[in-house]
Amino acid sequence: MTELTPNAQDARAAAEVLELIEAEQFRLDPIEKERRLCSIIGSQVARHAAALPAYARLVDRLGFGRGPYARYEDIPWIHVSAFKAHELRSVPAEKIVRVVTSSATTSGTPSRVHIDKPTSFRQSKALAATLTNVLGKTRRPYLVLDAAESNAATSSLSARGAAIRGLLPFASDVTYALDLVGAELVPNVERMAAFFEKNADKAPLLFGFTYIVWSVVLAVLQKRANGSQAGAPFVPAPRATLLHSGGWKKLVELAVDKDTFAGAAADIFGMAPNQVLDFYGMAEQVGVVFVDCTAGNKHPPDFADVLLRDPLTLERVRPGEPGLIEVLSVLPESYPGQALLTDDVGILVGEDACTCGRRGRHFRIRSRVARAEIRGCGDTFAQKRVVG
Amino acid sequence: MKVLHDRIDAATLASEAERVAGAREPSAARRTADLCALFDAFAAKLATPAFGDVEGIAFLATWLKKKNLEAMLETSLGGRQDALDGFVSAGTKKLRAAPRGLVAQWIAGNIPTLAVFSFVLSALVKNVNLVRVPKESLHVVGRLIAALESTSVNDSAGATLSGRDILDGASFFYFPGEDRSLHAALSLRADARVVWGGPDTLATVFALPRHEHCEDIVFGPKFSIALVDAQGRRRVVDGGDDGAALARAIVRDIVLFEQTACSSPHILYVEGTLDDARALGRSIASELERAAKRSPKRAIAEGTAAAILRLRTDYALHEARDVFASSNVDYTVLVDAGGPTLSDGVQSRTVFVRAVPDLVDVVPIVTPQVQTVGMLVDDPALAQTLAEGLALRGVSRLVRFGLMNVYDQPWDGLFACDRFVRWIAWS
Repeated sequence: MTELTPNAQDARAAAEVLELIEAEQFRLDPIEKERRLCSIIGSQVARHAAALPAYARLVDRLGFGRGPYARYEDIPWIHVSAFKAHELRSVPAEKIVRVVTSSATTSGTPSRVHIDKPTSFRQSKALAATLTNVLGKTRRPYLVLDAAESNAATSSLSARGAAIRGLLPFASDVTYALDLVGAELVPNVERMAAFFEKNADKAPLLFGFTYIVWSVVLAVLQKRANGSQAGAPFVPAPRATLLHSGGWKKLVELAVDKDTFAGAAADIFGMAPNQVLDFYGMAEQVGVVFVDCTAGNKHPPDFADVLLRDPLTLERVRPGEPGLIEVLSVLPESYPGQALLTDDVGILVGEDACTCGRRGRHFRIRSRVARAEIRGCGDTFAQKRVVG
Repeated sequence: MKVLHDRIDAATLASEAERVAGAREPSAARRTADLCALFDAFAAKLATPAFGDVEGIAFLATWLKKKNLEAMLETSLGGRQDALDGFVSAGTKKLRAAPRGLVAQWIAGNIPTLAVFSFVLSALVKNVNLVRVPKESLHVVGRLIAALESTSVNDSAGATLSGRDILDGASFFYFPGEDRSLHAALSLRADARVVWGGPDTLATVFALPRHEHCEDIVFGPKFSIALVDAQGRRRVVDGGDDGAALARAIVRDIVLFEQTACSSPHILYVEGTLDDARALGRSIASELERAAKRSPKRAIAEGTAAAILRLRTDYALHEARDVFASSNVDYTVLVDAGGPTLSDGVQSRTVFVRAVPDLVDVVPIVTPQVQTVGMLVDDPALAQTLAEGLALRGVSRLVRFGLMNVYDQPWDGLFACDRFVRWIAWS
């Protein structure tokens, strides 16, 4: 067998990535999937390491080796926080078409993720492939529960903007439900009422950032409905689907759980609570989303996977156990985002055969990791902090 | 008699306080030598395989030995330890060291055996004690108390002195931290209050009502660092028996209590360049690897694991830094040339090895929050300069590696035994 040159390996890996994205999703046998993803990621790791000295250092210093990798556990991971402090770009700057930034709710410093054209292309196709499985192929009226400014056409794009944009292929027409008044998001109730008047029976698609949907849309409209004799503010939309993502940390602080959130959305929009779908995704991994299935589990599409790592051993957990969530993806070409370890904790529900019919590993989000509880006389912080 | 209460209520606390207060006179009448002998016998019980699973038990057993307790009393009381048993001459007058009476103690949760250390110091100078134990330490404390209860010796009068007699003047219990009324009830019983803990615990206790005469003995939030000069670094890095022993001593300080103690080192400042720090870091990592094989980490909080993995990523990516780490989260050595700067401690066998051109530059960044400084400084003149400078900056202890977590006197700038007594002059 002839050994492939690095360029030929890259080309073959790129073709395999496209094949994975374009196929119908959630169909791969999990063992076969791990084998295929490990093979593709192995060549991607080698390419990133050759192009990005910092990444090469990480691969070597943390003892991962340059591959090939037989298991997800062996693939070099990067903690997502690295995108806040390091410019992780493995293509020349002139190839970058967009920088995606995170919301920076925890640290105050946003992640900056450099996207080139091939990566952007893959992300769009990948997101569409995943959401087609959830939403179907028919375009729907799209109500964005955000302001148009969140999706402004600039070279820099927030995670919110990226998510709004990612759903455009499913839209027949787009309406923004909020206005940006100064620095404040304000619901435009008249515009929303007109949207539902026109589209309530057309299975509209609604999308918003979870905390914004709750605090700016649902809370305001609930208050308004409670004070009004007219009942629900809009024409009910029983076939609507509400997708929402991000910002759960703030809702946890407000003691709002998923059922409460879904119930409130169902009341306001006259929709079915089981069509209020949370999806898990991150700015560092645009194109990879994990949408709730009808059984309440999240499924990785076939071009990505999750590895839940035991915090002590860093080995994969067994079904029923919690672990640190690592998201694996074959999409990124312009940055080394193949294996991103997060501060989120998930529970592995099963390795295959979810009752919803999708193949592969499925999980649920439990929470962010709790801040390390340091107690006793060692409970102190350095007065001058430089790291951490 | 039940001396350990998993969840005490107000009525039980009141009755326990009465019981304990009732033991003040017999407690005060005991001879110090007899108490030392009893704790020595207790130490022998603890130094058996039955207690091998208790973290830090070997050190507690050594610390409880008669020879150590006597030496500690001598140091703490300025050589006047006989004043614990009666008036002694001191120039033109006589002095007596009387127990304060009832000591209320708030124990921190980071060291399971801490309650016993703190109790013994107070009981040794004949106080009676009400001890609030953290929930997570109750099991260990219960086992240790049971061992003390079943210990006995012949006292100097030929009678039997047992642990049960000592425990007549003690009660150990837990109640939730948010139960302010129980905190207040405990505080109002106290002739002296002992507080071990972080800022939240201190704030809680300081806000409680107390009697005017009540003495506060506070072991508050601290962390520790270490200094290694060029010669010391070479000794570790060059290996050999000496280097291996030094590396083992450094690692012993890092591993014990998983760095949760205020005396645990979090940052090692090393005189030299990044490469020098890298060489030292590599040696320490090798020893940590051996330690992990001997005593693997049993558990880690998710938040701590996440913090470690964040730092590993950052240090691995950074050109001017380096990292040596286990494949799991057993240990992490983070190397940089950040100069004289402080970092938040991560705990759980995670240590920064930080190059500085001159160790003297570390002195100005040290605050009274730094409790112990581990020193491997072979240059005597440099050691002297550092010690003087650090002492004035608020450091409490300067020790060689291997001794950082050895609970010694003075601690946190005070002789606890001295603070547990009232000095009476008779002239």
